[in-house]
Amino acid sequence: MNEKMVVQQVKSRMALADPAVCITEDELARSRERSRMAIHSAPIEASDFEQDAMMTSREPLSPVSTLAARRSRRARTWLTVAAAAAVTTALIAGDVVGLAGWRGGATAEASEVLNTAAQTAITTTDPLVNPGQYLRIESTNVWMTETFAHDGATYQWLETEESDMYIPADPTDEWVWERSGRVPTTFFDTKAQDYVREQNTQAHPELLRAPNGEFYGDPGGWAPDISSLPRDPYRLLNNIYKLTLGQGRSVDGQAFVFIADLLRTGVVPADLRAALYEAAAMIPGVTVTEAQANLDGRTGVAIGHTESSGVTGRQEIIIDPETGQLIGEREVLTQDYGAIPAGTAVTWTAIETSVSNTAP
Amino acid sequence: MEREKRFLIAHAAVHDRIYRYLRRRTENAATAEDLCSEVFRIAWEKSTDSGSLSVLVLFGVARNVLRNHDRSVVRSAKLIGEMRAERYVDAHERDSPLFEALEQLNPDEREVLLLTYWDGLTSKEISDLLDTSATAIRMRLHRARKALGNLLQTEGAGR
Repeated sequence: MNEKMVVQQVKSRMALADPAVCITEDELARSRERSRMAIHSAPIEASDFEQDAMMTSREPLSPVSTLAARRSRRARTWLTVAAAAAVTTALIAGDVVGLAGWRGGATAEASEVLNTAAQTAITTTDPLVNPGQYLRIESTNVWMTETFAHDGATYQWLETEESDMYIPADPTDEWVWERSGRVPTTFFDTKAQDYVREQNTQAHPELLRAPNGEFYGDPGGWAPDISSLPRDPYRLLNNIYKLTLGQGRSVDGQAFVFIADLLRTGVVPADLRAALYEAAAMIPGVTVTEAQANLDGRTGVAIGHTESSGVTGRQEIIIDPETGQLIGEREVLTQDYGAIPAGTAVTWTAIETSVSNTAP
Repeated sequence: MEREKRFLIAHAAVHDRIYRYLRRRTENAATAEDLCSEVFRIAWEKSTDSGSLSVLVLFGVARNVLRNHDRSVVRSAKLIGEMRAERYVDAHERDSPLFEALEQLNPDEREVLLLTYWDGLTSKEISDLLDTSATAIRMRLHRARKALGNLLQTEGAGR
């Protein structure tokens, strides 16, 4: 057999035996969707100088935040080397000395809302989850999806996922997570609508069960080690600056995003919730952005951090001023983005926690 | 924004190839999906505002992720056997002698063969991926084809 024939034979037999022919379009679509999420995960990375890391895992904090963290935390910019070095020097000493406190803080109005909410939170008793019961965290999660077609066209729309998480009283027991799968819900032009209709991607509802909250085989620990976070707001904020330094848009913006991310997990106990509110009140640039903000049918005060330059989004948390409870968080566009007009909440989470006697 | 855009463009262009690469070398879809999501998570962390994520960078990450997943040398040697045994019954039924022959090849030669005929990489791309010269890859491919051809012929004669 000559060389050419060997090449031909090998080529055709290899092609026929290619295991990838078994791959279904559905299977590809699932992986495509999941791997694209990489962009939405804001990994909490252990900084070099981080001594008392509260989380060492680079994975999102918990299944709840896994879902939540998938959402857009865009426009990461990096500090200049000089600025980072200066800040690092300031932080090495631990959390007693740091960035918190000496550079101003939230506006008076925002501080008042946050500190009042903290007062209310501290006097609130968290719902007690007895053995056999579950802490149930229901959330609606919305985020922007953007696709780049082969012809260079871009399409933007919002997708929603309903999530229902049951955390057992003993966290080593089995957790249950009901997910609706992502469904395209809001369009801003017919172009994107037609595109989505054409793609005809189906949502993949899932009912997941995993002891220890290790969904998707992820042993990355189900919750942030909340116990190691200081309850003193000043030290807490210094800790947060340390943990988020170098990530995100700006030092203060990222600290605020961190607080929003942690709060929306729904597992933050009242004492820490209060400290997080007080810490947010110490972040420069934090303001009341909407006195009567509506999120998923509930109304609260929106408190946000606006970036100074070149960033399209504003992170906000929405607090019920009566109870100090977090209604949710959202990111609002401050400039038009593609088909989406400024002022749109492009990502948001509304959460509600309760105690349940049963899980599905 | 620029960084996201670059990532999404690379993702749209290369995801399917990466997934297929992983799926051909893992025992089931769930594992391939896990590894694929890990590949793009790493790719995202590696990505910057400038500089695009090339096909080869992504294949390189995928290869490392796969290797980490598959640390055990023993397991790796048995891979083709496992593919046959577990997941790829269909493919195997179509051409079981081929899988047997692949199994007998030297692993380096087998890798070049699979990268060429299954993953559709050129000799130049494979040489970059494996950090070897293109000439060496072409020679390896030549030897691999010859060895496989011989094995298949023996099998054909033995029938």
